[in-house]
Amino acid sequence: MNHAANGLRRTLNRALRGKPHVIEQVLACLLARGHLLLEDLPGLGKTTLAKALAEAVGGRFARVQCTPDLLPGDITGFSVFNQKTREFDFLPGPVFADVLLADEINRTTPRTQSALLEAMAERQVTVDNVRHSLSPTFFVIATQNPVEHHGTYPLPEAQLDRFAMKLSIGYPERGDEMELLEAALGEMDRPSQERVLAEGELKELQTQVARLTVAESVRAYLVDLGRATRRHPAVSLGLSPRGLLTWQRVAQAWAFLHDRPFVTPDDVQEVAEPVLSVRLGLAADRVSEVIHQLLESIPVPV
Amino acid sequence: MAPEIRPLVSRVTFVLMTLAALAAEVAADDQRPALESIGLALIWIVPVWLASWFVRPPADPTSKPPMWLTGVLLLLAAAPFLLEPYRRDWFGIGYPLEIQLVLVLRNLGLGLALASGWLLCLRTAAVVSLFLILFAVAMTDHVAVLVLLGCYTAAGSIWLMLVYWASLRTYFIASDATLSLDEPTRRERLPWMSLVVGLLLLIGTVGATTFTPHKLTHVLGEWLATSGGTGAFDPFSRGGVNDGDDEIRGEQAKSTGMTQTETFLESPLPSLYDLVSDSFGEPFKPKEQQRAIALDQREKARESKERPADNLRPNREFTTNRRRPRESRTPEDRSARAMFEIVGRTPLHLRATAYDLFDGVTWSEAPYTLSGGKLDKEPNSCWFHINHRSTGSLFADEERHQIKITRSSGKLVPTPLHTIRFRLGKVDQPDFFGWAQDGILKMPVRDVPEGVILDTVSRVVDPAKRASSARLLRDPLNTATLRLDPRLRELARTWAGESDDWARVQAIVDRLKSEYIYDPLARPPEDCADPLAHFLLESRRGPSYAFASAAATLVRSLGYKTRLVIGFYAAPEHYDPVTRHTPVVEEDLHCWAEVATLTGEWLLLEATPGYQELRPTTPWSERLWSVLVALAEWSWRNALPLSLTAVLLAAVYRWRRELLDAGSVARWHCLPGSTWRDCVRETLRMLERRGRWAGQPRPSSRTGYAWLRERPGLDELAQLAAWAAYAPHLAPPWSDQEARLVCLRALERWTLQRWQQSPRREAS
Repeated sequence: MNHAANGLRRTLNRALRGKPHVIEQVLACLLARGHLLLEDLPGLGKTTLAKALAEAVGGRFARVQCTPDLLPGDITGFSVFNQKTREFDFLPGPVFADVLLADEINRTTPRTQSALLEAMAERQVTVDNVRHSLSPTFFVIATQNPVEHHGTYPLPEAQLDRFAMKLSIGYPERGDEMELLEAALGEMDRPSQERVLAEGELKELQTQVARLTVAESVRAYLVDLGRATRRHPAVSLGLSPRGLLTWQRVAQAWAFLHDRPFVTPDDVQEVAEPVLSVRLGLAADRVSEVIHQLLESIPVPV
Repeated sequence: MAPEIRPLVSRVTFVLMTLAALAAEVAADDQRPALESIGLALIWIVPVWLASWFVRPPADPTSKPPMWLTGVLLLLAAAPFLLEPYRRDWFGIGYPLEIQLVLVLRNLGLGLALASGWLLCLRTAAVVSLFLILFAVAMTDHVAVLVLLGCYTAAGSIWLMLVYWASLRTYFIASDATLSLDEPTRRERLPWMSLVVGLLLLIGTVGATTFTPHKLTHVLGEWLATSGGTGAFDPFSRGGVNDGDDEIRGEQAKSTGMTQTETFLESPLPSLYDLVSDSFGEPFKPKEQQRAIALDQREKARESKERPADNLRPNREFTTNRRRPRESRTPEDRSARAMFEIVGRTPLHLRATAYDLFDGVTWSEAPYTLSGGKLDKEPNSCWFHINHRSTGSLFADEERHQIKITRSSGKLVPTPLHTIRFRLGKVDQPDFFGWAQDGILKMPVRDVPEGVILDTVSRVVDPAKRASSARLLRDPLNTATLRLDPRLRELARTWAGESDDWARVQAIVDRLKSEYIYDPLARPPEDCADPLAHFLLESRRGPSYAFASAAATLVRSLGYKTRLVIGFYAAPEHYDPVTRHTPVVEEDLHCWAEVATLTGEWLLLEATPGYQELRPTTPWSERLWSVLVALAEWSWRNALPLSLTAVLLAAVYRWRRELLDAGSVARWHCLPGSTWRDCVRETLRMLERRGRWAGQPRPSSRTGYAWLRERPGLDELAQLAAWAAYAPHLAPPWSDQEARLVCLRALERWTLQRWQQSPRREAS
């Protein structure tokens, strides 16, 4: 069942050294058909990860560097008048790729952000009243820099809900950096990864994930947790039903990645932090603490 | 509640409780200086305040208060009750019952304020403080209480503000959430146990007050101070609860029942002597075949045909040869209205007539002597003092009684034994009183009017002193003339044995009390010539006068001076909690024997089974001590079974977990569950229990899977547990047998001992 997932895991681990846990979460996000927000400093391997992922799933990769003058059309694509055919031809934007890296998404204007976020939620774009469907496995990796705040347009909390999870890659360990340097010796370009998944295989995996069993007791546990987020005094914005659906799907993907045909509360707990940190209204320094409190407060079904 | 406000609210709650405790202490006794009251209250407040520094508030204020709090609360609640006897003994001051209850509540409140980090305790402490301050304000208008009330109002306003603000913050933010559903996440479990116990208590109380006899209802009510107290005389009582020294005095004659300002009225009531026949039956002469000689006319003329009325005869008699009384003597026939109503401790013997000479059948009244003691009026009061020759060496302490004379008993002034002072209404002339016989007071020139109160102060014989130092008066003349069956003399000697005075007398009384049966209706056959011998040797059952004359004659046969006394017995079981008096009715007429001491006291010989003599009160501390001593003696007597039980219980306690575990393993073997899932769930439960006992419980937020995987060798069971819990409809990759085998192995490997030996891990 999990041969393909293991291949993906292996490939990505080769591309981004020393971060197996992050890779696991990225895979869960991919299999759950969610989008990923990476909040990290430059140079930690976001692009590497995104490109390796795109290559591994065998799709097209596109990258948008978000700046304040970026227009919605630059993302979605636009129509140009074709002198030969005397018609408008649609030039698809980077959003039509399979894996899209939106770098520093908080640097662009809310208008452009909205265009991207709509594409993420609906998996389609509408240009000049024509609806264009995106790739069924469309996957966005957006990044934002947590340090600089000048000239940024922070994503509104409602928009953040469209991401499945938020991750930080963080600095690699010393040993991993040594290996990194060693591997870079005598290498001009980063070697491209081989394609792991066949055509349509990702969609197949995502379907399998969606079909994974979630027992009623575990669903009740999820609902209880969701309600607890709404009651917690430190949380200004609780979990939305959409967030709850995402959480369940990510937990399914997590169980899938661990070769289990059903979801346990452990899966729910494992993915709680990345899933909740992107969508709960929380002070940045209390995220871990509050999520831990929430998990502690609800007894698991046994 | 917002976390940063919590400690502040706790502190303000403690301040509220402190103010309320101070006010309650001031109100408890508003006669003493306020500073003294505040000092007394601080004795409790300061330690609790100091202790509060060591109580760490919980992370979740809504969590259940800890178990140790129950112990602290019980200790604090019991403390005022435990200290009160010593306070009374050592300092001579005390609180009435209702104030003690309030002090218990104050201590409970302080204990709750100590744990005000828990929301439940905080709220309860606030309610208790409110009650106490209201109590204080209602009890007294002392200026200190008013000042404390002002402070309480100010602190209370701050408290309300803080609590309101805290709750506002919580709910304001919550309602702003995407979906403001404030339902509890889990369905709250109803506290079934508490509900059932509460319901049973309610039903029990209602049942007990509805379906039990009248008295029990009132006994229940007497536990509440507001019901009027226990009806007992308590020197520390005040304010109308219990009977203290504040007897309410009436102004109008007969307007409020018993008064002490009653005008004296004449009453044409039957004399006491008629009552004796009613109670004990008419006397009769046994039929005797006697030879008669005809008298001449002159002598015949002197003999009257009619017997003179008993109460007019110069030398009154009491014969022990009597018929049964006419009426049945069931309790329902007790006279509706009492002769006397007694306030004070019972049982109480009230003398009416004493008989001295005994001819084998009939007792004759003792001639009046002047030995009753001289009556002295105390200056500026209506109290009379009886001058006794005797010293106080036999007596414990003084006892006060109020005898309310409801129906006149003629000239008799019914005083308890060993009365030393008395007061009858407002009679202030000593020549109104005189002695009927030794120790029996009467009003020689007129009848005692009804509706007056006789106050008496009497001494109570201390049984210990009596046994050690009573010197009895010997009466060789009477002993020599005593007509008694030789068998009875022998009986008396056998019973008495060879010891000192009182022990011999006591031995006879004890024999009568233990070996003879009290039967008010038993009478000797009509042809019986010697009723006393019949009672002592044959029937061994009889009415009280049989016991009394037996005691008197047997003791007399040993050479001591005795007499038979008829009087009234106020039985403790007749105490009426509604009126808080012990009524004495005609049926309480009783007969007892008395023995004279060298100092001229007549000591009671109560030989009738079921009748008691008044014993001296013992201080609470002594009673507690005597209970402890009795307990220790009992334990010593039953040392072997007790120690065996204790060892057994200790062993069961020591190995309780092992025993319970063995029991559950046995049950697991017998009933392993119908499916493998049941079996795995049960195994997990047992392992969880072992882990809990070994101090490594499964945190409620961790799954059994994650918890089991931390232990070596439990991976398979962890997998099974996850399948059993979260994949109810998926076919498992194991067979039923394999799953059961895994469970068995896990139970065998991870025994309770292994859990206890395995290093404790911090739950991540």
